[in-house]
Amino acid sequence: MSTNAPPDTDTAESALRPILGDGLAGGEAEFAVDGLTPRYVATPSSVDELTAALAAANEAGVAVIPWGGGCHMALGNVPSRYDVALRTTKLDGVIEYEAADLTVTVEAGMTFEQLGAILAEHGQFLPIDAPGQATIGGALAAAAGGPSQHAYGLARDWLLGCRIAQADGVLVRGGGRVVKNVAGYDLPRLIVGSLGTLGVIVEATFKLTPLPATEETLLAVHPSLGATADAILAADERGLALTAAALIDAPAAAELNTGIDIDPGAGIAAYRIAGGAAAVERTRKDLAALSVDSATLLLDGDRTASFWRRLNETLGGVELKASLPPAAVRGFVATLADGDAGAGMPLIAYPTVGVVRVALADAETDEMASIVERLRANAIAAGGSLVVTRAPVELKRRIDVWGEVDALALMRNLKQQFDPESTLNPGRFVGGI
Amino acid sequence: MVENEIKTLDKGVIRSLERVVGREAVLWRPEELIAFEYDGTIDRARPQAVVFPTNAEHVAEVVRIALDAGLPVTPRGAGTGLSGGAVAALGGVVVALTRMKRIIEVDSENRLAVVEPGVVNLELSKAVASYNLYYAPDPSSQRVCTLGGNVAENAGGPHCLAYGVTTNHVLGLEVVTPEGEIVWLGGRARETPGYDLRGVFVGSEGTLGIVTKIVLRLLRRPEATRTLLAIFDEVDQASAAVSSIIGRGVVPAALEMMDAEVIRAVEPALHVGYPLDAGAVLLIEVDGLRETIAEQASAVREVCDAEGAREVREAEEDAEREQLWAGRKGAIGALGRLAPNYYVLDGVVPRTKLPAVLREVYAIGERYGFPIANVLHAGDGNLHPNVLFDERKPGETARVLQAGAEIMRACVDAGGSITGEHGVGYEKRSFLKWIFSDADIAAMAKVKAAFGSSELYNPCKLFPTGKGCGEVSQAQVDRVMKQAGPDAYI
Amino acid sequence: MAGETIDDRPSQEALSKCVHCGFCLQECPTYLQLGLETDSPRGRIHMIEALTDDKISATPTLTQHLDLCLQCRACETACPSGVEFGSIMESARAMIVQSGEAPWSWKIRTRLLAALLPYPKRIAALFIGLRLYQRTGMQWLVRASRVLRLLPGGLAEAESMLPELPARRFEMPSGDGDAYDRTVALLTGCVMPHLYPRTHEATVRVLERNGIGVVAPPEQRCCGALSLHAGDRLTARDLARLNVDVFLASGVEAVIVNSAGCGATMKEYGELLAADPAYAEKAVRFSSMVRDVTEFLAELPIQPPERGVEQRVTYQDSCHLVHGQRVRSAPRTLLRSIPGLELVELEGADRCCGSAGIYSFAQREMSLRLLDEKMRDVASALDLRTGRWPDTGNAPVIATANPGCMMQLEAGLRRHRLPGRVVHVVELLDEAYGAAGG
Repeated sequence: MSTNAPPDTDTAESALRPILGDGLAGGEAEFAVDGLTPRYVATPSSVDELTAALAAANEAGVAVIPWGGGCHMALGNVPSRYDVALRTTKLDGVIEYEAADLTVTVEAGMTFEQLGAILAEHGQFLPIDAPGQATIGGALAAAAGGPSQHAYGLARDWLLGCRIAQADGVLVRGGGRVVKNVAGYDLPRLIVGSLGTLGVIVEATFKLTPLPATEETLLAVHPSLGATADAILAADERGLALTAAALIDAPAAAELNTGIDIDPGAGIAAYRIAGGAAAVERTRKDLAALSVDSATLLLDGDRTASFWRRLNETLGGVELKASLPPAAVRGFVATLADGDAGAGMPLIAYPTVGVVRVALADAETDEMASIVERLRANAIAAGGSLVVTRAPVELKRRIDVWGEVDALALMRNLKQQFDPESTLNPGRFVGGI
Repeated sequence: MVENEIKTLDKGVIRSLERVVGREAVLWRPEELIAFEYDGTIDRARPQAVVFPTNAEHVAEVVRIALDAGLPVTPRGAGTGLSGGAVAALGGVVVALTRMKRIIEVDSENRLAVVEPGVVNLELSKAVASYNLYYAPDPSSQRVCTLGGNVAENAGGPHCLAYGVTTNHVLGLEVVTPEGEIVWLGGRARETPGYDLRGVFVGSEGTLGIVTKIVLRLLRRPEATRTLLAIFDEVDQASAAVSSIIGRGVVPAALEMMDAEVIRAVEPALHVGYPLDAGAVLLIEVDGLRETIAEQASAVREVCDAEGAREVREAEEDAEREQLWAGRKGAIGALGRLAPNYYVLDGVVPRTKLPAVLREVYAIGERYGFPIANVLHAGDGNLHPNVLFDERKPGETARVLQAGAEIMRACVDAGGSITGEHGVGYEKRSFLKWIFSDADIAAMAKVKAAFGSSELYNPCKLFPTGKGCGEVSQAQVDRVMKQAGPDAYI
Repeated sequence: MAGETIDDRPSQEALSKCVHCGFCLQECPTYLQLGLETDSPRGRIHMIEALTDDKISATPTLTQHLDLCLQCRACETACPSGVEFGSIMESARAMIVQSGEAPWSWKIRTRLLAALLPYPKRIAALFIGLRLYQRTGMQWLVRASRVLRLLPGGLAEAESMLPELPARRFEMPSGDGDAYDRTVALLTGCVMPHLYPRTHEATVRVLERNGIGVVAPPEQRCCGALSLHAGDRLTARDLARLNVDVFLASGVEAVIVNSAGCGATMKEYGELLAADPAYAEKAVRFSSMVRDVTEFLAELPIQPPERGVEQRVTYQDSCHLVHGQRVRSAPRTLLRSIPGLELVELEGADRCCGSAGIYSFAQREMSLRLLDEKMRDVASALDLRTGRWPDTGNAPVIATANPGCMMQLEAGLRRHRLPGRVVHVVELLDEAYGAAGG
């Protein structure tokens, strides 16, 4: 079926109303993506309703954007079509939580805040950095992550299994509920980071880890961003009890209100120390020895949680994220400090895992586009990539936010196999998928 | 054994293959092919030619020649796999990657290495040891198995409890697709935009292509390591201890279990110091920061004592540690001392279900009259029951397969999986339906189609059905399913 | 005894011990070189099994794969399942030889060995000839004239293997055996007295120095290892029976062997003669008396050497000592007991150097590949290329425990124009005790 022409209102209405009843509402600006407001907002109250609605939409050629907490909607290219926002928020139950096995299965509309509270009762947590309001499904689709990947790896490393509703409404499951499993293709990994273009995640099983006994954060000021990166890598070499390490420049420090003074051009090394009392003590001492010429500040456990939560929030404006081989971070950051991105803009990097996040100064679209292309070229030359994670529509129309990717033909084949009508998130993913 | 109509391979095809890789890199005489009819398990099927390419372009050409001639293609590494994955089920051309064994690059700054698929797992760790780095996944066959095979099977190993299996360590892959195209999946950074094709390729058991280069993460050697051996009179006590250790929030680097039957095979062979009268031993390793592992080690001791351990020993020096591990790594091979054949199974259950499932495994063994020796990556809930038998006794193999199927069923019924690290392969494809619906399997078939994989490409692997693959064990499987009841799972 | 018929084929029981786990692959020198399953222990066992089941026949391709096996038995050390690969390969070759389907090269060599090894006088005559060839300048002439190039196959290369032959052969000193409380017998062997008399002399001196009297029964013969490995079990059994009788009659407490290949074979006479009712029990008793000289000395233990040897030494395990007899630490213990000696571990010390009895002639190309690799490792262990040797200024030493290995490693030094010398472990001990020579 060719779906280039937008369906008329009645098509979506007549396809979805019988299934959703009151669960179908008119579109609102709140659900706009890149300036496009959907005609309808669908809020199914069960997995069955969701799959039926999806099947009907697919049949009717209605373009659907799945919507969880709405936290990651800035990511992606401008949608080529957008008729219905499909909310998963009512699918928020716990399916199974076996604390002694350190595994949990939940519906995908549950928020991280909800899940965190449930797990904390058993002294456990899911170490994926995502905003509290983000849903499980949304965070997985966007491959959310942050500084914790230093110790814990990426979202894909914690997802044991998932159920997705394919574009045709057929539910399928990949993976399982046990911590080790190689039966069949690893569909969960394919789904993580696919931006909802292959299916709508309705259920996820994670492995979990115990909450650390104690936590604190050490901040140390270094005279330059390069020196800061070096200090962090030196600390990493020692294999200390760290769960995150971040480089913060002066503007980002100001926004974070770190409580420590730094000069422009200087950097802060932030270390999240976690573990048993003895390990934390040893790590603090070792870090102090490494930071002997620096001003330092120690944040206690309570302030630690809020500090790292804020660190992971958006920098605002046009935001870029480079994923690099770790040793390339120093050089990449140096070119930024030379004013490439416009001096004085907030920058946060996780040197041990090769991530650099930076906001661009407001400028003409043309200029910003050329900065993006230049930085992207740097990232690629260093063996990495650069994604524009937040940008105004004008800029998005000028560039591909994902950049060019390898094996695009295979990716197109996949999309064709799973969503031949391009019902889900049309146009937002790599290569216009 | 696979009986099938196999397309004959004419001299012309052999000449074409020889033109690509050279005469001495193509084997086709029957007396030579017989050495390629097996892997590490009980399945057998003979290829019609075995080709030893030395670069990706050659692999691609070989794949195209075979497919143009209508011949199946089956990739092969060291042939140590345990699910029949390297067996040429329908004959055809085996692409053996043992000659692609260069370590192309070690980038110590970025803690990564670029290797060819034929590099042996342990050789990589040896090659990077001088940088104080190592490659974490350590299947028991790590002295011989290839990294390409590890990628195909998403291989695990004892230390995967803390450090993750192969997929957690693969950054990028150069692969030859089933249509003979060379593409890169992933890269040198942790994340790349687009679908995680790298992630879905790892563990696809050679059904989505042949890997020709691998970018792997390396880990820094831990500051300290402590290895404990906890000795129990009863299997139940040991499996309860496993569950308690994890439940207490301690995740050791490795948490392995061996039962009395295994000890009986290992100890006389390797003299590693496992007591012959023990019901089971746990081999527990903690590594990392000295302070962290001190806490973990004492927690582990406490738990083992509380669960009734007869004794908890600790290796005092490296040599002793290596001894304890040699016993574990040689365990399955040593079973050859107890019986002419063994059938290795690879089930996974939730860790809290370990004691109950192990009891069920022994009960099945008794019912069938087979001794069963259990080696477990216990911390992961990953069991390797080994059914001991003699294939020369008439009818015994069929009964072993059936006992194996019942054990797998018990794992599935406990909410587990049919494979934790060996793969589905040729052997367990009939079991796939126990844990996946037809729709689930259809979704996997979509992935296969997207990669351009055909019926001839590594046929009869992973998927429960396939043209010409026969239904060798389907009848037995159905019988077991009937016994278990229709609503046992899914 | 001649004309006996024993069906030498690998037993199903022996073959079925292999569970094809593949743990042997990386220990197999030919698999490491070629990456071919057909040239791996697991592949060879599987092919042999198919051969015994008549699924395949002994084609030239098949026999070449079997012949490429060094019989170093490194796979046995690696095998968790206890497969006795050496014995399987020996019986497989015997089966092929006895079937009459063996390739001509196998037939020729078993006949040559059978015509030579049991006859000390013929061996002596051969070495007289070889010595003449070297001494009269003929060797120089032959090499210079490139006549060797006209010789078939490996012969030309094989000629270069030959070390400079000593002027005299080993003669057992007519010492006073009764002066010692304990007495052992020395296996003098077939070629050792002609090639390395110095090793025998050192062995006798070191044993006597440690209070052990040595006799060498003159009626003893070659141990039969070369025939056994080549698939001629009949000749091997004849020799075994003869030696069992001779050594049991000598009334010694142990039979000392300084040639690892012979020791491994003699320790397995029990198995070789198991089907011979007259000898089965005697052979087992005999085998239990056999000791490698390093093993025997390390067990004593020896008196500490006082003089010392100021040299850097690396040790190459002889396969039939480390894999065949599982003697790994004894030679190292002895070397470490020598004052001033710096023992440097050799990377891959227990991987075959490519000598393997007549292999270095029969499978010249593979033998050289292995030798070249070995010499690379030796050169890096001993810093041979940099010439940075210890203060003594003495060229470094490769110690080993078998004449074949010594010959091969000496050829390796010549071939790669490397300094250094090759000795048997016991020779260094002898030097450390302040003996003549060294």
